[in-house]
Amino acid sequence: MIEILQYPFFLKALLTALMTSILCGLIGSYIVSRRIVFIGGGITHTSFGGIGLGYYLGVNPVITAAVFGVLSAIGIKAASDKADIREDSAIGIFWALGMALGIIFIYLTPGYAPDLMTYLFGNILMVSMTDIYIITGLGTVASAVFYFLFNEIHSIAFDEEFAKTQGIRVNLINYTLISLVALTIVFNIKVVGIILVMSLLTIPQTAASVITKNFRTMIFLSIIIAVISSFAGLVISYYFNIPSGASIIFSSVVIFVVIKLFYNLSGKK
Amino acid sequence: MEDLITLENIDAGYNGVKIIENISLSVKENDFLGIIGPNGGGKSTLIKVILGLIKPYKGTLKIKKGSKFGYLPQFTSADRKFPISVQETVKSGLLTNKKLFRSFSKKDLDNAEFLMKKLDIFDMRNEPVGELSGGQMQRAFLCRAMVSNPDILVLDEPNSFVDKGTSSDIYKILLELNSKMAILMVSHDTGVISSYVKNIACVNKTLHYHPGSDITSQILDKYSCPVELITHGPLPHRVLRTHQNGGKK
Repeated sequence: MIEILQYPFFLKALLTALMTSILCGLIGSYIVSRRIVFIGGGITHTSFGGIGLGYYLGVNPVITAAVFGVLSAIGIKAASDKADIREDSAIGIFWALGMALGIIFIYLTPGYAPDLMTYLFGNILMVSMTDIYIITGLGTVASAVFYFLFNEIHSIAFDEEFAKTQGIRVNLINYTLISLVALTIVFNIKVVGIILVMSLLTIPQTAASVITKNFRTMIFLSIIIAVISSFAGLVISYYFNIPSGASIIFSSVVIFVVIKLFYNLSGKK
Repeated sequence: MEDLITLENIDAGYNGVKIIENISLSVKENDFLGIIGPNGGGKSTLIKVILGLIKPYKGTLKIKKGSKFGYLPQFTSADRKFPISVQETVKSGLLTNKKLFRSFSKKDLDNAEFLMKKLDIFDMRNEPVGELSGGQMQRAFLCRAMVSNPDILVLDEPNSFVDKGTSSDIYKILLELNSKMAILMVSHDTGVISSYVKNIACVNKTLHYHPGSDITSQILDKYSCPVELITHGPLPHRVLRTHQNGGKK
């Protein structure tokens, strides 16, 4: 156990896991409480189009994925608010379009797409220092937004129509938050991959919501559960030589099941 | 007295379907307007136009500058599993008094506590609001509507889910508040309407304004306003019949 802490790559992975857990614990609590997990799924898969475009243009796929992610988030919201398309249908369309564009761009790119698997399944060891700075910066921005606007965000998330009658800038806050959700998803794709990224934003939060019905406590508990499962996942990944994304998610599901069983068996709600 | 709310020739509805038509109405300060009418007649649509929740297709809506709204929705669309306590729900009604990035004032928080005690939900202030009974939840939402001391208090059926005893307590509070604010109240309970409100508007696609609170079936006849029959309850009340000529499609 001690000897793996001597490797710089492992320490970097731990730092990534910590920053990711803070960011995902916070943003995921918002996603789970507002029941917009499916929007998250839509954003994740639409951003695959951006990854494909990045390969095609020869730029860092994370940058183009971020653009696709934010545009899809705003697009899904606008399609349901303004264009009168039902939200789940809009999500389905963006989801499929993103995947289709991703495949088209990768197919058009000459040669083999290196580390495509990293984006699909994630590899925490491929995360660069730049990625860590971006995740930390985004975590700082998200924490500041939640710290200063907590009451407004909480009120809108609970009852948007009432919030509108109170002169709160509902649209501005909604679009800001959905953009933060999109960026959180995109910058965590390298860590756990497109297929698994939503789990970091839902499993620790759902586990936390078994224990508490208080939104603030839920955010802190989600972060703690996310940290424990990602550290445990990293250790498992090292000793069993399996991909870290999968072992992190597996650990979080185990924690969720244990908490749920404990609460159900002890008769607490 | 100055008009708080003025509507002129308003048409509004959902998805292009007109639900209310050619509505003109003005509400003055300290008015207590009862809004009655049949189900599907457009009472809630009218309220949502006034609150700015739906844009009218045509006509003009004027609200006195700087007016604050308090609002009790009919059925709250809110998620019962959402992590929010009774206290936090009530405080969300104070956001209209608060500037962005600031915290709530002491005066506002004191008022929140005072109202929660008055409406008998203070003891459960830390419980999740979704786990309350229907009547308790209604009182929590009523608290949320009143807590900012709004200029215009809009209540969409405040007496649903609430038993009659609590209901008369609530009306006593409303009468006190009425000296400070205008109240618009949708209600099916015509007994309550005639004992508390100052003026009546009947909405059935179009609007008929009746100054004064005395509703009789003759008046309703004249305004071609079909109202649902009220059949039980300990408060003395009238039973009004549905109009033959009023139910025009």
